[in-house]
Amino acid sequence: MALTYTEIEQEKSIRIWTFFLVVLIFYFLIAAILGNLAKAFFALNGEAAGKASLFLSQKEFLYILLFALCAAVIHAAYSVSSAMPLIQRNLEAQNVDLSDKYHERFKRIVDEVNVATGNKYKITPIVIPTVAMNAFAISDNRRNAVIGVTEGLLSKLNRQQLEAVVAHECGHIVSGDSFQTTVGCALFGIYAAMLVGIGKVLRGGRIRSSGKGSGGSIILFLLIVYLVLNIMQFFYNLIRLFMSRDRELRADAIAVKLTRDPISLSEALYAISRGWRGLGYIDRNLESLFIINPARESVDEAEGFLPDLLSTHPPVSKRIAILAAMAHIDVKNIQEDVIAEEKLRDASRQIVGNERPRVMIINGEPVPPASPFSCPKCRQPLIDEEYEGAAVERCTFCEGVLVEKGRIPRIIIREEKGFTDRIKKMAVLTQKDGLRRMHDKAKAGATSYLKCPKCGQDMLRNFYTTVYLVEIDRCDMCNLIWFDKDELEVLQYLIENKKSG
Amino acid sequence: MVWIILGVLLLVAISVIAMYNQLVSIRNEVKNAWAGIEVQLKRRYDLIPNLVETVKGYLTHERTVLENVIKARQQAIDVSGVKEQGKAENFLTQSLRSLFAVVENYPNLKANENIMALQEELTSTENKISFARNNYNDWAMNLNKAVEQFPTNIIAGTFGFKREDLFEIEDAVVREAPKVKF
Repeated sequence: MALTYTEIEQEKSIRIWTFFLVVLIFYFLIAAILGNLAKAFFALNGEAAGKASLFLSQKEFLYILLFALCAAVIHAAYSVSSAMPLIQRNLEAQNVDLSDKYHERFKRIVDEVNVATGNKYKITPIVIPTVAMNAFAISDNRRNAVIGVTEGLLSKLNRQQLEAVVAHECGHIVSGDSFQTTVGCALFGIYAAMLVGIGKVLRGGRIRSSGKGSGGSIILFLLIVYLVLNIMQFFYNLIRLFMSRDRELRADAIAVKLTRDPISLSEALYAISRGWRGLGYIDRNLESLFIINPARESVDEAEGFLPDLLSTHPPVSKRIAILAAMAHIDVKNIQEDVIAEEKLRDASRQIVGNERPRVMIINGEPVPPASPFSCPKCRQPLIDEEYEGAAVERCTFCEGVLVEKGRIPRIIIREEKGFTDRIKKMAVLTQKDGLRRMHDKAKAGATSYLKCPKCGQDMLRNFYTTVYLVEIDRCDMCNLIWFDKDELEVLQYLIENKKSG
Repeated sequence: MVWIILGVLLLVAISVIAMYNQLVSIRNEVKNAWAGIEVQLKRRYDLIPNLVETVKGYLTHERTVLENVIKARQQAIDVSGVKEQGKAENFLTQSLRSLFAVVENYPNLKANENIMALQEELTSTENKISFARNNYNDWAMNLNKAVEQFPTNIIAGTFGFKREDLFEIEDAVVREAPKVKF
């Protein structure tokens, strides 16, 4: 069993390229078989029945191969060029927000690991706004690539672990995995589409019989083609899954080569496997882009012949074992360290003092930077503040805070802040009182509204959602939300509590 | 008979060309990787005067630390060669570390946004230097492998391809992990 990362990388590369060659041969083999079947069908049922041979001549064989090659090149080229934007849209990913502490750190890490690969790719970092923990990478054939991580990942891993995950994704990029996967999918997508079409016809369509061929023999022909395609598809899937698992192991090896740090990668894998990694509905084909299978199935984590055959990712325990062996430490140490770090993070949640006003030194005196906006209540200038890593603006008089709508999911996902008993009591009161307040509001009618600090229009006052009855003021033109004192903390506490049940 | 000999000669010629080209390719990658390190080092050299200027006003009583940093930077710029540069860079890193240790004692300096930003930049640059060195080491290893393995060593010897040094820690004192004593 190979131990060093260079050996693993070499061994897996040979296997992957062999498999890919088999896939290509498969593609042309299927084209030839289909062509032969078609010729046999026409030979048996057509005008020249009995005169033509049942098998392809050499020239016909070559023509079919040529045609298959053209179809493959065109479809593959189209798929490769359209894959990246399509997948990004599918996952609702967002560009990094450089005013955000975590996003900025992520961008730095991507730039640093890019240096380790020799800067051969232009890598764009993006973030998926979900609490799940996962990461993915895609590249095209023009040396552009995208690495995406979830907000949950950014908030739960430390710097070295993030580096290891980014390096794993870079491993996929520099070995051209996404390119290979897209080409494979494109090639066999043609046959998959044929399968679907034939399936529809066989299941319910009427077959018009034209010419001398009777409907029955057409159905027989289609049935045989359907059978052949199904068998080939089954074998292709097996090969595809083999390749996918080998690719993950190779990417792990490259990650260690880039960072020289197998411990951090194994810690990151363990942490991710403990948390929720799902991302909603993910197309089967997209599974292999992610560092850990987003569709958590027991098949993935089990070992044995059948699970080994049928999952896109190797079991996490196996990956951790390989990395632990590289570092000459025990797997238990890694598990204990991850759990200890988690406990430490929970215990050290700071109740006060985490918000750091950004301070500039002017003429030797510290001066907090004033934002161009003013408090809608006190009319005083707001101060830039960093809250749970996101940039918000606070009023030092009434302690209310102005937040851009898009940053709130991040604040809720991140758990730097702890909560005082006062906040917890307020949260309980908010939920209890909320319905009564809703009725009172409806009875009272119009009240005076706050004006949006940016555009000056009236802000809408309502509850954050009907489940979380925290009263806020929002301007939907500017996507800004105003929280009075403590309201943001209460909202955070309520949602976190709901998450943990 | 003649055809067989011609065929064999053709095969040999093709493999010689292939091996030579591979050696050329790897050697150029090594040069590229070395230049990559230089890019990151230059970034560090450029950040340091900025840092020194910003702290000079506050650290009027810490003259020696500042002077050490300036001297180490100049030395690192002047030196050349893998081993010498490695030593000079380590020296610069240590002097920067002493400077930041001193900065810890001045709270109003620590709160300064500019200092924090510069410190982040320097840390990031140090990481990039380390990654660039990894990359260089990997390519240097590839070159050394090609130069020493059979049959490419014959081509390498004929056409003058040489081994390259890797970045290593020579000083046994530096190599030993620092013991933390309270």
